Amino acid sequence: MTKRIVITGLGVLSPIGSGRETFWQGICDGAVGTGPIRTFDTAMYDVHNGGEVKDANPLDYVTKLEPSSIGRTTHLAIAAAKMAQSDAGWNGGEYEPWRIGVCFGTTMGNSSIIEDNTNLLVNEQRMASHSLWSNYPQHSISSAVAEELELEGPSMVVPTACAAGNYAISWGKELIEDGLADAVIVGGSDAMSRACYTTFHRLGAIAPEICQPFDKERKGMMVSEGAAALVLEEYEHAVARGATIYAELLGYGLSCDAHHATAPHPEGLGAILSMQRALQSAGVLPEQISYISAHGTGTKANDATESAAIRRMFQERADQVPISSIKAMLGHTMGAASAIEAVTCALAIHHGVLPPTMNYNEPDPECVVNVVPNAIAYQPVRYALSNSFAFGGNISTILMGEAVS
Amino acid sequence: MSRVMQDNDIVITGIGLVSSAGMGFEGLSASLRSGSAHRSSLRKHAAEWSDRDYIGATVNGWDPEPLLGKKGLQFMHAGSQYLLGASLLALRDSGLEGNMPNPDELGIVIGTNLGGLKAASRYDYTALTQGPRYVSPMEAPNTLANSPASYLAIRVQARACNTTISTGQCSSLDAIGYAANLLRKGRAKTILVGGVEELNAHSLWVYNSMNVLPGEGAEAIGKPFDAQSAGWVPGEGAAVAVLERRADAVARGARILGEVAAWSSSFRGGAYAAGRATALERAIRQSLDTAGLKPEEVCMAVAGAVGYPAHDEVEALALRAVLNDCSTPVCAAKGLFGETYGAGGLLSLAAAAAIGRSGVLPESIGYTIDSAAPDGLAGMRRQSGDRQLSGGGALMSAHDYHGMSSAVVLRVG
Repeated sequence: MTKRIVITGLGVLSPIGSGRETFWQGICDGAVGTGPIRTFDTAMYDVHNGGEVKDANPLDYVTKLEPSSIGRTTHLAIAAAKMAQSDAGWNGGEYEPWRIGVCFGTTMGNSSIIEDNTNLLVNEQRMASHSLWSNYPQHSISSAVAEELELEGPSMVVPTACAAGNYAISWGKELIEDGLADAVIVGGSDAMSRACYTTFHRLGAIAPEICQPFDKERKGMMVSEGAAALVLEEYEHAVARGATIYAELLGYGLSCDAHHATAPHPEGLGAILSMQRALQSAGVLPEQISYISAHGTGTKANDATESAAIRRMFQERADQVPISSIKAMLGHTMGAASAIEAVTCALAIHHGVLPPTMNYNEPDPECVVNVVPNAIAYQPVRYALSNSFAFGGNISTILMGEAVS
Repeated sequence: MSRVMQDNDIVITGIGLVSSAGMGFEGLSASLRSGSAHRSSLRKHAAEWSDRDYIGATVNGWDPEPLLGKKGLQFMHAGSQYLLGASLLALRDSGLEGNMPNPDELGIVIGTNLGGLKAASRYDYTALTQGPRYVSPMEAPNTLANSPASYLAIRVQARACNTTISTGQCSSLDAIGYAANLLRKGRAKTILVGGVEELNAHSLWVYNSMNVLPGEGAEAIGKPFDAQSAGWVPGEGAAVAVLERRADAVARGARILGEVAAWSSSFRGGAYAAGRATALERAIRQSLDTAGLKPEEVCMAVAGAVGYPAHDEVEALALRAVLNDCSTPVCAAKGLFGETYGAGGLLSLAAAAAIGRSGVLPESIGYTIDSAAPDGLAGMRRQSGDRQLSGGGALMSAHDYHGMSSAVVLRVG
């Protein structure tokens, strides 16, 4: 019999607040967390806004490793993982350490190390420390999480750019289904990155003031930072230990546009495939979907092609099924984005709330229009579909639902 | 080992490589026999931060145009070119060239680590010193770790999945496990599973910072299981295998090179080899269990040992704990390839397939567990003379600097 995988712990650090409760309050209030960037001087750019984690210091969560020898993306991942573990109510006896895995996604990895190094090169003609550089490789994110939480199951990083969170989440599900772990802490993490900002700036993709997904006047995406972690475990185990079950992870789809290194396929070919496969793997029909958490970056190209894909997939229901993009509030937290959106979907299901799309003023006929405008709506969410798209055409969709007994 | 073949077995039907041991199976086999692969000075990469020299296991005489054509090469970094080259060679080897699968059923899973570092570093430096308008938009995708896989997906039209996995020295063994899972679950019909890494000033700097490179004037370098070895010979290249379900491979009349029977992974970091070895031992035992193999049924262990004694000892301890009295031949092909990081597991798989085909483990890369000797590196002896192998289960292992341990069981020969 197929194992049922449920979500029982949530950790998040985001521009609209950190910790499950604060974050969810931010979602319910329609908080917009983007604004002038403080991490680096933006004077050289044409735009200056982004989203940063301001209400929590991830270093407070680093207790075993030397904080100065690891980058901020790892700090954020450790903090999110510890929040999720604590939220799950784990106190150490639930599983053997070697039966708990870690899987994180990231876009830029620890590019703060690159940027610290550039600053030192330019200002002091020297490089950043060996100890810091030794922890540049992407998988130092998951190894640091495993060391801090004393976990000995599979520990992996899936750096599939802006779809990385969903890739990590879906691989966690596979690890449990295949018996390689009893529980996995999955998620995504990316610190505010100047190199990333330079990339999107050069592509002319950054909005000057605010992010407005699906709005006719949308002007682009917003580079942000954040991290999220979710505790995945088997339904029977979660019930047996009396855990709070936020939602069930029912299925996922992977695909690739195989079209262009940075632009989406104009008809959303990969997006359709990914959504179809997520539905198929979960045994859920399109008409059963109660909410779509869109990738919705706020760029002309993304929102139009994602809308085209949703229209193809959902036909006449495309303008009835509620859709939102929380990137209006958070900006695009890169590899963390789909993990934070997964946290949001789990809480949307748990509380029966549709998250809003803020900054939404004028519908775009090229886009889906039922975008839960500017305020939450109270409505049961039985099945939520969450899309994530990335450079290189990497695409992943996850499907969650109520964990009915 | 009696075993019924199943339709859903995951089989290898093609292998391609671009490496210090050549571009194809013939070159690789010759290299394995002679025990030599290409080496060159890395002075140009180290020059930015050191006036000393390093020796690297580099790709020799790489000319991408005949294989890849001219289009798009200009903005593709060396690693992406190696990966595309190895992939086209693997497709040719599998008989799929000119008869490609439906794009919706073709997937890509790549193990790699430092792919985005060079371009991201240049982007940031240029932005700060000249201004952000001076970076090239064509370099944008190269700032990301998934860029080699992304170029490949576009090139071969693979839409079923496009996953990049970074777990350091375990990356491409983990990619094999991930790919086999997707095939078993019917998420793809054919998968190109690969590993790739390129040497450049930035990757060499990271290795230098990890303190895994030999000190100046070291005599022994890159010698697996050798307590005197002073560290890695850093390597580069790509290796790719075509994976399919047995029923599909048989239906199209493909030649089957081997089978991926199991994968497992575990984690333990820290300063002590014995602690780290418990995790590798666990991964090895789990993968043997999954494959339904007893330790005495392992025909060859393919280790990731690379000449960094602290981590080679982890493998020596774990292999000894599992295989102790079985006098199992041990292959350490990284003595040839150097440490190619993300590509290491797949290059070792290519070596295992070549050895499985020839039935001989050459002296140059062969080792024996000496159960009479003390535990640890001392218990690994160099093999004298070539050793005949029976076909059967090949156990692949890898242990990473950051604490990951992985194992893959293949059936070869």
